[in-house]
Amino acid sequence: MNQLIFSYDSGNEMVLNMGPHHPSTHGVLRFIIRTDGEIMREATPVVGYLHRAIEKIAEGTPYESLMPYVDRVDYVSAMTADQCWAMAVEKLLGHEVPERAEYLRVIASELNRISSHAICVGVMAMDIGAITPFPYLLRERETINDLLEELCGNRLTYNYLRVGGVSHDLPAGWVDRCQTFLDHFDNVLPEFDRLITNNEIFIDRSADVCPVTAEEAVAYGLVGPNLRASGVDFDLRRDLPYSIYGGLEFDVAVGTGTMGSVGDCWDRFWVRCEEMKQSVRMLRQCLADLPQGPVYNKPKRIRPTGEAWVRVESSRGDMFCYVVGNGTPQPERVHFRTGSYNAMQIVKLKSRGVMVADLVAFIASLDVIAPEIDR
Amino acid sequence: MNRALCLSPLLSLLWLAACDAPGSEGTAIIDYRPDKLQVGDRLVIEGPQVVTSAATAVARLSFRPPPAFRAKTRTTVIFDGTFTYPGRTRKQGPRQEQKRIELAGVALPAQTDPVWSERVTVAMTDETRRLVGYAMFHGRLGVEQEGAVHWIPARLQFFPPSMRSLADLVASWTSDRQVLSWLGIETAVENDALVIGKVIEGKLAAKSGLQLGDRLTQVGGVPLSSNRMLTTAVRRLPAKGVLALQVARGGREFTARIAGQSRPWVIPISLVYLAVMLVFAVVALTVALLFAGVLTWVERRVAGRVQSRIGPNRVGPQGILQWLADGIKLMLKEDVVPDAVDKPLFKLAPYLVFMGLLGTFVVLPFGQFLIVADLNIGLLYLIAITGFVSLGLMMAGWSSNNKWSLLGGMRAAAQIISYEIPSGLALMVPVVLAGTLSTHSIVEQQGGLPWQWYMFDNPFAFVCFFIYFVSALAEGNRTPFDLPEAENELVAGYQTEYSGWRFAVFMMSEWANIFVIGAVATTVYMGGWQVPGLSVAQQAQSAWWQLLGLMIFLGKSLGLVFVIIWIRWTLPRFRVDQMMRLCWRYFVPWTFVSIIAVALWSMIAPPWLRLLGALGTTALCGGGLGLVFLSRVAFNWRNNPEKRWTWNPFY
Repeated sequence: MNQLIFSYDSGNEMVLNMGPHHPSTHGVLRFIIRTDGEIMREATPVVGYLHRAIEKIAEGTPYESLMPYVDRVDYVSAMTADQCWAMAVEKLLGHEVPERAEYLRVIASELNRISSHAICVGVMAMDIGAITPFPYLLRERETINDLLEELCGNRLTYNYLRVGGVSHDLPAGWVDRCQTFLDHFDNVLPEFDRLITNNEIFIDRSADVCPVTAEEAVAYGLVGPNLRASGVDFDLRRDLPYSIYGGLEFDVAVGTGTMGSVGDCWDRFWVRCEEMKQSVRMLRQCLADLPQGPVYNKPKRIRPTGEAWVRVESSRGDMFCYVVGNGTPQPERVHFRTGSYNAMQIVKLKSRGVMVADLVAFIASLDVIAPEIDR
Repeated sequence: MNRALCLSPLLSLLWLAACDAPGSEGTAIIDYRPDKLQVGDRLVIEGPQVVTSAATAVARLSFRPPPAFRAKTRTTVIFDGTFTYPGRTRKQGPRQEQKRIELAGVALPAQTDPVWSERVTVAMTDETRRLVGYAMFHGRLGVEQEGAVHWIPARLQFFPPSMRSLADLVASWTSDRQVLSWLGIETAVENDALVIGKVIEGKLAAKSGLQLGDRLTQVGGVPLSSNRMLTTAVRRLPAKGVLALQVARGGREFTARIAGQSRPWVIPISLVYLAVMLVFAVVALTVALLFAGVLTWVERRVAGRVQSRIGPNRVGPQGILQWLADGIKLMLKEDVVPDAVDKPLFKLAPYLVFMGLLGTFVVLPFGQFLIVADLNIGLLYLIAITGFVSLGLMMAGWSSNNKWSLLGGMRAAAQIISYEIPSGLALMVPVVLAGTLSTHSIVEQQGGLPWQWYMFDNPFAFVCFFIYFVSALAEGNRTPFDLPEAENELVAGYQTEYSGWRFAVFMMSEWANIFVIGAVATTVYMGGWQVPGLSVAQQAQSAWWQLLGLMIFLGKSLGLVFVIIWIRWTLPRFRVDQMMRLCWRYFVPWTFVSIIAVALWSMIAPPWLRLLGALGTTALCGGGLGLVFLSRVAFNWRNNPEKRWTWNPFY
């Protein structure tokens, strides 16, 4: 099948390649930029550089063994990706998960959400030139990594959740260590706000940059903090609650265009900072209400038939998993739909008439993680 | 051990003839220039008849020479008045001496040097060694010839020797040594003649029959009052000429003829001069590179501490040799010149940037007498030579044959050229206050205490300090203005295709530039090397004050360097249009307004009002700045108990 790619050259443009090798892109991404030197005519994203055929591999891997692969679908926020897959298979099987396991899953997911947002906002600040906030947040993330390492043995791709529960119970003293961390983290975010969120140069660089209206966000399928920053008040944890989120009390941050327009880069940045605070709140509640009990209800035989789909609120937004079983130990078809893939599409729309420096800020604010796009 | 120490004419006294009347009552001294003297200077009294010389091609008017001013006549220059020496300590106060110093010389006939006119050359010899230090003379200056003295009232300043006069001293001493060793004698000056103190066997003087204790009184009719005269006479010998020396031995006078087969090759004085200057230049280069290297270490440690990590601490104690290791590594890397680049431009660009930066070290006043070249257009030279940087960056961006480099180069060009305007204008404010472009003089006119700095002279100057600081940051491509090398956007901008030593040259230029920013800001705005509480004259007296001045200068400069590093690791970077807006819409108008305001202020305000203004500005602006800083520190102290400071930044 031949494809004709038609593009015109107006003569005073140059075609730049913000290539797969680039210090700024978040993973292996490529943009073909048509620009007159500073203002872009268009930036076309080219994806697929990180495609590892996870969905195809899944067709030959038993259900319970796919968990490490699912980690690598979104390695920055692996717990939520794990939860997506585990819940999908459990729904397919109709399997029960112990309550303690549900609490542990949520605790792990919210900790992971904090560390994922830390990376996103830190990297966004770094792309705009302020290098210091990133190590500050990395320092906090180190504590989270230590906590999660005590929990499951891994610092990044956790492989913690199982179909039917979680793999390990909390070690002794973990709850206290986590509480200490949460108390410490309460001081970190206000300092971070003073350092970068309310910094005048940062506001100049991110406010009113590529504002995404609510209609555009919904039309292009943006999810998660990107959607909420554009003013759409929708959060899966509150509106379509799963696991124990129905019993937790938290607020949902929605962008209001405080510094510029609704849905600009500053709003997306701010929404993620607020979500970190809300995650701390949820964690405190979970740790206080943690019930006793088993943590893993191992299913006897996983040979399901039929299909199931599940949506979870991962750090990047609405992560959807669709699984089809055909009675064999391996699934027939698995599909993940992730928020970063749609975010890439809006780059082409929003990049017209914008400067190259703003493109970098925009991509950073969308929290694009390359493995999630390509799987 | 009297040495003739002259090379450059410094003091000239002009005679003016009355219209027609012969006789000494018609002559008078009309002018002396300049009014600053150093040991090693030659005092030249110019007669009014100046022969036009093909070499100089300057025609001057000639007058009928007055008969009183005659060639070959012993002439004495007299300083008669009060010498004021600054006291060694503040309590002692200045010391005054009424004295009369006479310097004897002789008028050289015009034929010996067609460029000179009838001139009396008088050397500032060791007899005047007391004047080596700093002294002010107030009295009258006289010239005596055959009993007739002519006076002019004079105020002069005597200075210790500068680097250039040191070069002159070395140059003239070297040539004197050459001539003496050619002749094979050692001499001492005594009573207007050279006394031979030693005769070396086998050389020309011994062969011609000169002996120990002979007095060489004249050569070619010119009395030999210093080795310099002998050297000049030897230089002017024709190829196979005969040197005719008048010798006095035991009351008897005779002429010794010395015919050398070959004249000594006397090193041309200009070459010696050049060699001395080269040594100074190498010293300045070494200082610059050392600063550039050590500052990378400082930056990396400070950056680490700002980011709550440590920074390099492995190579050498506390990682202090890290820069050396990195430099050597870069030197040893493969020299990659990509195939499609414009090779001459590609190879030249880093060195242009480097040259633009290093040239500035020549006019930085590290101490009162520690400046390589005290150019009287110092600041203009500084601004001009940093223009090479923008040229080099554009060349680097263009020649790399890479769109990203081109973008970086163009951004760099736009940024640097734009910010040269507020930077230069903000540097003009201290020039208006000081009245001179020479960096040395600008520092001299400030003082050590904060209200004597130009920064706190008036609020306009205070703001212009910050404008200069920020504009210099922009010219140096430092965050928040590091668009041309923004890693996240352009890989490395104009440096993308450079690797190995060429990349190291770019990096070194950047860090040397940081130091230059701090040094220039210190010099023109913050009082430079001035020790608080002492006057310039007092500081000139002792080497310990000089050392303290150097430490003060370095301390202030490095403090500003620390602020520059601090800013880099705190603030995000500007976008191109925001940066341009800042420059053209805020900085440029403000600097224009400031120059006018400061000029008016310095013209209109009497000294007491200026002092009051300076005190007020120090209290309000300086005090305000300090208060804001301390209140932030207090706030963070209260709210972040984990982050109290540590006394040991190296842990």
